[in-house]
Amino acid sequence: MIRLRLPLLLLVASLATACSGPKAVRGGPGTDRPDLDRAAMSTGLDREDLNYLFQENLERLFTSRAWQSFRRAPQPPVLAIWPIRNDTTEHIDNQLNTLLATLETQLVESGDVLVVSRERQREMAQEVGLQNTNAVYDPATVARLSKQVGAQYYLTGKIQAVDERAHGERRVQYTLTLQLIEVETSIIHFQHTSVRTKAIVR
Amino acid sequence: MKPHARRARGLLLVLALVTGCATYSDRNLAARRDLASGDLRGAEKKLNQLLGVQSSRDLPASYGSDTALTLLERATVLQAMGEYGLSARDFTAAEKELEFLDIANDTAGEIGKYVFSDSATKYKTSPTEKLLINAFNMINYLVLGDLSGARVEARRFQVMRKYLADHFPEEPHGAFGSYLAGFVFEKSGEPEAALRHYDEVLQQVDDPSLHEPIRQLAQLTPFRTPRIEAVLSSPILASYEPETAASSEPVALAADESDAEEGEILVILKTGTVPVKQAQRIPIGAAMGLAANYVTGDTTILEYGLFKVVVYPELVPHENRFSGGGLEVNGRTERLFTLTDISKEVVAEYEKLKPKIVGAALSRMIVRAASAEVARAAGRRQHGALGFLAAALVEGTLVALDRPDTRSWTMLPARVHVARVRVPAGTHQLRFQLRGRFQAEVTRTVEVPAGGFAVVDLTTLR
Repeated sequence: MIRLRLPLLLLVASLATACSGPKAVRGGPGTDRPDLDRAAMSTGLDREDLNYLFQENLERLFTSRAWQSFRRAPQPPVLAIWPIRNDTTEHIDNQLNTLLATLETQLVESGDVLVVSRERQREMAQEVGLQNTNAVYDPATVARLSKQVGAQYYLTGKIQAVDERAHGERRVQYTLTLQLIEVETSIIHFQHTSVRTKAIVR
Repeated sequence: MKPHARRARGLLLVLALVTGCATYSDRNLAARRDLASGDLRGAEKKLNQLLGVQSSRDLPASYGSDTALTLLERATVLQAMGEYGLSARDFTAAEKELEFLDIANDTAGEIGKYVFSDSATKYKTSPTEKLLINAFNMINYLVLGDLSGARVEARRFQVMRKYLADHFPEEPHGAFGSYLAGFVFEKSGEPEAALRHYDEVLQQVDDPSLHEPIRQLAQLTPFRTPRIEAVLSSPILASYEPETAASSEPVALAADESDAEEGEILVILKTGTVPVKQAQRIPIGAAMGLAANYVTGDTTILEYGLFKVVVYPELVPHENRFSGGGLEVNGRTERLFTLTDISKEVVAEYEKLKPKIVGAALSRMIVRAASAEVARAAGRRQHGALGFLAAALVEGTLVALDRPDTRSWTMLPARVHVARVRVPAGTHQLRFQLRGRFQAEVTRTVEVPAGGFAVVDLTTLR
């Protein structure tokens, strides 16, 4: 019996190893794992989180007084979309740019506003050497550049995080603030903050 | 089965276990030898083999006990090779996995460390390693000109530094990371954040290359500390600007026009690698037994003491080829300041932990001895001679299974030297004169934009 145990144990162990390797899976709507995107894999912001933060803000924007006035205006106002400032501890600039591209499409298709091309804005920022510096988020600079491209309003915001560690756990509280600002007067016509928390717990 | 066949099987089992029980530093020894001979590509290839991937474009499909650490090693080698994008990705991926290991419960591992193997625990990065991951990744983003990415790493560094300051207040760390974070925020137009980080540097070391940036930033923010005040009230030293006469007059802000035509080069030189843990097996029982046998002719003590071995990891200094260097920019000598001696920090951390490490090693030796006595007694009941064989097999196997924990960031550079040089916008030639046990020269060309900056990083890893 003892003679059989060790070889059997080795056999079971090797089989278990062979069967338990990683494998690729498909998930999301229309697949057999529709909830694959729902699980949190880290404290970073994934697509699910960013979509939620953006949609929460946009729903408020489209039902705001400022937006209702845009819809009633004889001519749709011209709107510029500026980069969302990333003040978090996560590398999400690419995801933010993707979301802004989606936002640009939604706004263009709504017909409520005329949207200045983000590509043109990027070129202008680069021309004056603002790319990659915080000056591209500076209200005075943004207002000046928005005026140059003919915008009457601009949409901007920032995403921030409070990152804490204690007792072997880590918690990150994210907030996305979106603002709609009038170029000429710098008056904030809309502002809203959405929140999401991610954590690694024991 | 015949007795000799049983003994042969037992010995084969022990042999198989011994050969399979290489420690972490044993497994990456070939890659480290490549680094020592200057073969970065060879080291990269061997690390990829350890990670189970075809090329550095791939990330591991799954993470075993040492994968995150090996990924960190590859990130370091890729940075030395100038593959800053891939290095940034590896640092981020490794950091994520190491964070999970850091937070994970490891009660079983902690018990195992005192019972059967030093390597039973999950790997947890040391405070020095934690801070340097973000510091090194900041270099990647800065060299790539991605200030936004560098800011993310600077914030991650900030969070980690605060956590360590709260939990390990007696161990100031991260002068290099604070320096880079200060630089990032300075260039991002956040003077207070920049000054706070530069103050963290001043808490550990007084780097003259920071004095001028501190003076400039102090005009933009009211943030002050005694160390900042000391810099502001000190005379301007000629050592930072070698061809400028020393002056005690306050420096006037440069006119906007000349600032717009100038730029800055941040030079980072990283030399050598830190000490590495190597397995130590001290056969204290065999030594005593042989001595006793020599004196009395009695083999009893030798029989009992044969496998009394203390197994633990010892930190062994690395014989680095380069320990520092000189710098010329367009033929003009510039001062490279040794900002951080990472080797010293690694040694200090290890010395603090050593009593606990040796204590665990002794505990494991006692457990093995107890197990051997149980086997000896059981063996003797069957047949007198079997007692010794049973005890030897059990204790020998357990010694073989006891792998010293030699895990650490073995390819971490030993020292970091920095210089900041203001230059006109345009193309500039840098010449490094590496010094130490050997000498070498390396040249680099850098393009500096008007009103901007460029970062030049040179890592020798030997």
